[in-house]
Amino acid sequence: MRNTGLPLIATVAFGLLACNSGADDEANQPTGVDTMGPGAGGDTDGADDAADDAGDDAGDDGAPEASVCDDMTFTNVVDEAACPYIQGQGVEPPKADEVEMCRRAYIDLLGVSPLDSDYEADCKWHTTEEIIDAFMARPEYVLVNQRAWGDTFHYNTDIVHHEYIADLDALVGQVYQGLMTYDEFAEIAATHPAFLGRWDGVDLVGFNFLAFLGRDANPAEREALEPLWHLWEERDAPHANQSNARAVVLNTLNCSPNQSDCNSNYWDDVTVLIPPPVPGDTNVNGPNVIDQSMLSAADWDILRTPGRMITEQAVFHEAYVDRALERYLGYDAGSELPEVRQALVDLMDATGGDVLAVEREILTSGLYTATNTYEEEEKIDPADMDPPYWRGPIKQMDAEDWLRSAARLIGEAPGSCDHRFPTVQSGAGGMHANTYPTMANGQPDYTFRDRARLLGGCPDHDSQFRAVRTGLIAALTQATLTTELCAAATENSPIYPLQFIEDPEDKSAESLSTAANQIYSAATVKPIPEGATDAMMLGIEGCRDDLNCTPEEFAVETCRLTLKAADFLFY
Amino acid sequence: MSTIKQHNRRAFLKYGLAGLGAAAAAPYIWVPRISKAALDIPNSRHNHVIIINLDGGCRSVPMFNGALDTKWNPYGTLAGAPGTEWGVGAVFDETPYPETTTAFGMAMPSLPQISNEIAVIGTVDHTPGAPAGEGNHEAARNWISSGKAEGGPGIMSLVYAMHKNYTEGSAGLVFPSVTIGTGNATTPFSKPMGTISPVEVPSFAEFAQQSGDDAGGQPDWARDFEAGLDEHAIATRGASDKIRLARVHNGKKNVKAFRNVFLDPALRVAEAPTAGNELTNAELQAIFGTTQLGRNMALALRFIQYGSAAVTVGYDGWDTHSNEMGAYTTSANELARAFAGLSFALKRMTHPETGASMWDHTLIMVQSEFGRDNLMGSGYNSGGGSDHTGGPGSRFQAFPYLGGLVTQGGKMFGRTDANTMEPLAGEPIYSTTQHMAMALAVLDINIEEVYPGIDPMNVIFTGVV
Repeated sequence: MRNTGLPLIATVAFGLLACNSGADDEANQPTGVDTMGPGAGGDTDGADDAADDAGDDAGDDGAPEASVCDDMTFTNVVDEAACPYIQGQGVEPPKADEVEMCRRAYIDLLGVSPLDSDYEADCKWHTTEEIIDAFMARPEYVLVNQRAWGDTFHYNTDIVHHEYIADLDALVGQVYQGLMTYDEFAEIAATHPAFLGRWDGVDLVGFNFLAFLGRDANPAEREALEPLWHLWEERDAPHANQSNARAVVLNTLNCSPNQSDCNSNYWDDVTVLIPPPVPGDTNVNGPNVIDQSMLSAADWDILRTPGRMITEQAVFHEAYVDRALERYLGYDAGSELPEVRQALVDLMDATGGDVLAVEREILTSGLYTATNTYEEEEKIDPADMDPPYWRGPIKQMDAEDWLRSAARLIGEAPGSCDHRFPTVQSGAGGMHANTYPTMANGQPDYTFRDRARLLGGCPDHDSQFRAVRTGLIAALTQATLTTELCAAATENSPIYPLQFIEDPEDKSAESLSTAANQIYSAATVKPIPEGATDAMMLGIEGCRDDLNCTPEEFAVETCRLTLKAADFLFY
Repeated sequence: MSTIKQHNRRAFLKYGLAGLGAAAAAPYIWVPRISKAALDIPNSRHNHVIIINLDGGCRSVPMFNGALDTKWNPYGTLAGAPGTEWGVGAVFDETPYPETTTAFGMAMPSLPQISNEIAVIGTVDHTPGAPAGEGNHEAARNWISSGKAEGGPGIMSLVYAMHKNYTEGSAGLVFPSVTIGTGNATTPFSKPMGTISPVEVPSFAEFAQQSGDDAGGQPDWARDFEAGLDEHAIATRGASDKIRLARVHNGKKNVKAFRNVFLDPALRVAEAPTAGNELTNAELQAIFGTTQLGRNMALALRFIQYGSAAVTVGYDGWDTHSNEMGAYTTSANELARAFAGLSFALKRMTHPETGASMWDHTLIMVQSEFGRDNLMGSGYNSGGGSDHTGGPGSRFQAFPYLGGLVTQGGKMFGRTDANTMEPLAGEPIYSTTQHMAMALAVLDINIEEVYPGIDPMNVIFTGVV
């Protein structure tokens, strides 16, 4: 395609986007065009210029003109849809370097920050596409997604049978292994016993909306759609490994004789009805109350009607896309960039709900692969701030990811909580299966879980829900945990502070500087940024002036501060 | 104890104020009965507010507006203390608490025995004048945390950003505002205002774990090193990202500023029975008991002693769509003990700056997403619980107000029809925004900046409807 319009940034596409401008020489650039874009050279004026350009270029209807984009070719639908908002505004976000991109993908897709050795093995010399494809094929990627859905479904064995949860979790796993489409999954999940056992009545409507349609149901919707789930109940059914287990049952009496109790005409005129197999028997624990495991395929076909109807809603794919965009980009890109949302919805529609295709498109897009380094002055009014899509995403690690990453650096087993079972239940036959570490007495070791909870992770899904905590208490917790972690490091630890002290008597600035850089780079796979050298030297001089500060103490404290520094905590 | 001034707060405040200005909702016109000049609210920067957030949507009517049909209150009513006009629910246990006898020489009076200290508004409504009430959790959480339909900075963040003790400094103690609890309806109370957010404490037990033995101790040179790294990270990011990173940076600075607080064993309310100023932790245990709510209330009082202008304590378990009966009785009586305990404890604590009792400087109030409805004549829905559809039962919440600042103890304002739960003719209806504006006004915060055009509720102080 030949560039016939303003070749504003056409020559600086440099592989950030999977696009080719067709512009073949820099001579096409008009004088004065800032080809580096506002984020590239620390020129905050550039951002203003771009904003001004955006105003100049906006069409009469307020939509950005996209002549630049018209002259570009794309292999990524996200890049194409976002182009009018970015390149169309004269902005060309620089690509993240290999280390930044590696950390981002590692934490997002594998749930842990990479070590030096991880970077060397999995990222160095690999293209973004190769990294994303490789990571999405790994079991950790499936697990990260299972954890995310666990938060959505509020897994909790205080209320729900552990076998139901394990089954639903396995279905999530199939989705992220490409073995099941999202549409198929939602149809089943909407009436899966793990869902039915977790909520009752109108809450079943509300939480299905939250899981699959992106918002809570309003009271009218709750009331109007509840009949689609009206047959379901629970009964106490102690299990050998879960004495508090309750079974999900279908009470056919709930709509007999009044079948209208199972009729809803809100989305369509539908009755979800399984007639009592023994007419006239009104025993609420009798033959007309059927355990969900005894239902036939034909019964399930009827009972999954609400799930099918959910998948037919216009916002069904949109809700998934919005969630994925927010998760990977850290902001509400679905609303900020509606064309991007629509492009991904179209992709999902075309593939029948292939979430892997959608996620890959996001993860290989310029929105995801751009650097988050971006110099912009402090601004008071959010309306004056540059849009987040003019730079790459920056997010705070989830509690589990931070703890696991820190533990790996210390050389400890990373630990884990079982996202399916916030608490392991037991019965006459002992505990049910789980993935918690086991203590000497055979009980689950909740140490990791309890640490993560202090920072908003490993939620119990009852009184505590996932949160990314900041502020005083989070900082205090991190201070406490890093004290323990850095003290536990051994000579085999990747971040073992004392290995970087060659001479315990050498308190020279050069020696301490070397140690600080080595500790910092063990955690972040890069040396202390040049712009932060003064901070490091302030610390070094402070230690040198402090008679109580030994090189060993300097190293240990540098380990602590690195693990809770923004450069490590954020990615 | 130390006195802490935070001269650098203005730099951070500017983000929040700007955001606030942009987010301020257009005032809706509702019950502007008296001019602002005539408002009679006991406002002082020395006052404190304690909010108990009944997470999940509490059925407040059977507790505090009990004189209604069985459908709305299946428990009946009690006479209450002399001078009580509001319907004291028979769900409450009247028996005084004997646990305090050893330490204080008397059994602590129960809530029904101090009902004449409590003023009740029976018609607090998120959306006065709207065709229906709000029955949606997410929307209701916006209202109860920020006072606005669209949501915004949580009230604990507003207090921390705008209270004069924090913005101008104080001769007294200035521990930040605090939110205790992790429930979905409680955490929004901490939604940041720019870079400013309150202290968020999951629970008393987790707080004890979090502060560790060393309370975040760190050599000054290490602190400087870390601060420099963080400041570089902030400087090299976009404006909106700077705010997120700055919250983490601010949190670290506060760890140092308030380290003396975290080293105080009095804050280990379950583990250090002899610790504590004026009231020991053992005495607080006798007063509040050992439930999570009781321990969290004890911790809340410790934060108040360290200068927190406001504390929110979340209390979960009110979203009782089914099997409500047993759970509700337990929850109601735990709440009752918290109320009774606050009355008992605050009267025995001295305000460090005025010398009056802490009781004289405190307003205690509750908040909740909504009440409950979809009830049958039995008082429950078909599952033995209650729902929230936005009908009058869930719409008009009955809220109690307690503390020495409340002059209308025992009074009831906003009566509702015994059968329909609709407000009776001529009875006032108060918005959630007015209810929250009152809390800020009590703390001497300029509410016009937050809720322009809104008259705060003042009837619990004046008795004038």
